[in-house]
Amino acid sequence: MRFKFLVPICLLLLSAFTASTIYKLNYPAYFPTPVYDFKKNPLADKKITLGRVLFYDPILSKDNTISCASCHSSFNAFAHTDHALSHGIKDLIGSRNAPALMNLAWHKTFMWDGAINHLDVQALAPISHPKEMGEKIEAVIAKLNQTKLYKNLFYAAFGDSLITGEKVLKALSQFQLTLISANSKYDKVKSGKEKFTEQEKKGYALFQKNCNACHIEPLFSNFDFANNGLPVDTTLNDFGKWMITKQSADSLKFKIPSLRNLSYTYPYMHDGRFSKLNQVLNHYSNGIKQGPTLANELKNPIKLSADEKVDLIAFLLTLNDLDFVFNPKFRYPKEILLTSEGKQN
Amino acid sequence: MKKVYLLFIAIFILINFAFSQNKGLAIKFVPMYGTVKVEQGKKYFSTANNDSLSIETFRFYISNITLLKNGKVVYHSKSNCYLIDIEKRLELEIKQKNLVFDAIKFNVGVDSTTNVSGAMGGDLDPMNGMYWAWQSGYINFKLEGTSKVCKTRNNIFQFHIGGYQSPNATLQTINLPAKNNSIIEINVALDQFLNGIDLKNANEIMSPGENAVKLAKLYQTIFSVQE
Repeated sequence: MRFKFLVPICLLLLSAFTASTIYKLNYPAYFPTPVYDFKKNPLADKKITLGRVLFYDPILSKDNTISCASCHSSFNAFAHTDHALSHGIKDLIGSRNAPALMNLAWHKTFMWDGAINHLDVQALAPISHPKEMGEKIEAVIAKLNQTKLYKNLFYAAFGDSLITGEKVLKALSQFQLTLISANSKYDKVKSGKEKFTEQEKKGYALFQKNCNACHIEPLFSNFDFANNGLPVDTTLNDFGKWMITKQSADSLKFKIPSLRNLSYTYPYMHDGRFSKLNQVLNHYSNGIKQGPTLANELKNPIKLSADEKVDLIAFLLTLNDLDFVFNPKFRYPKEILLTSEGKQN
Repeated sequence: MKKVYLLFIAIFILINFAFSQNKGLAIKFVPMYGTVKVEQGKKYFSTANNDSLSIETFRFYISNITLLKNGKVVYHSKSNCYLIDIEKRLELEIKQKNLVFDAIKFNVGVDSTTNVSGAMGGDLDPMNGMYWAWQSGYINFKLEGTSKVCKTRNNIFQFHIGGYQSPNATLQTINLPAKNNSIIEINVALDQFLNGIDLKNANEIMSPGENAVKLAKLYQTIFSVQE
């Protein structure tokens, strides 16, 4: 009889342990040390799951129509394919192209203009932007606190069902931190599992000569800001980092994006002006607009013959990571979001 | 029986003693408009603009509270940030007992390290309406209200003062003499702040920059200890 009591106690202990199951982030040894401070937000399975549910749930938007995934689709390496400028609630169109989300633990700042200084607080921007999700974080928290599903998920993740801004943001970070793209052909070559073709090798040499100063291996960006010589689109008048700092030295500087998964993340550039890779290469070879803040690396045009462009693109395509794009762990959590009763509240 | 009595008396005395010793120090902020305490929505008269105004929201962060005696630090709150809010909390408690001091020093605002450290909880939770979403950083000082001189929608004036990066950092340090009582009452002269602004032309300052720095320097002067 006495053992009858032991069973629930053991179960309770077990659940306490599973609640804090530590998640080990896997990335290749040749990746640098992450910038994100995991000590302040240690990854745990249930927090990642919660973050994934929040990422896919339009409850974050004012009219419950737009989720993070609306503009950051897993099948497009978490970019917004085919939309030069992304759209939010009520089909309102924003002013920039939704960037791909991958290897975020290595990013120093966020957004095309660097307005955000930490991954944890990034989500506040799209949630509150009137043309994206258009909702106040306070209102999001109030909505979540009224939903049984989330009371349960937060309890499982944090051992406390009270939902706060800090918990929402940290859970969203946790899911996004797991979005690691490190299994492209390039990575397989790096780890000795595959070999480049002759053409890819030539392209790799061209890449190292012309692109690697800013799009540094193995993340294919140094995540700094640069003016890459794009003429200003006068319908947008977007001056990038200057919009935030108001320092003339920052005029027309935008965050340097990673070149991983280019096949899934088109259109390219902060305003999505190029839909094809060869348009991008043509820009670098003969479209550069000179100006006081132009990157030093681009002051002399990059000379590429037609054949070299083809070779370079062949190399760039080795940065596509199918395992990343089709990872079922990154997809819509239908087992939670579709079956729950809490959603009907 | 006698022993039990004695025991009870002893416990009673002990508890009493414990409670009497439990009195820490309270720091109380008193938003003032001239000689009267500020109440939300009440009309006040602005001498600078010759018109009435009302205050709807008033919040600010306090951090790095230090108590000094003859210039020496006797208490330091480390890096804790407290949100002072006319609607919710105007008083802070310092639990440490028997402090002997003659001055108080504190920051108005959130330090730069905290500003770049990701999502925080409690008083620093972004759901408190003191965090900018479009650009990372805390709002250090928020004052909102209405005045007919503001030709804005609903005659609103809004001052959301923040910014942690130089040259537009707005963190302010306040040094005040303080009597060694169990409560330090600090007046916050909102009339002095609002009369120092040309409300007609400057009524919506909500981003880091030169104007925010000017206003931060202005509110640096509005704190004083009640005699």
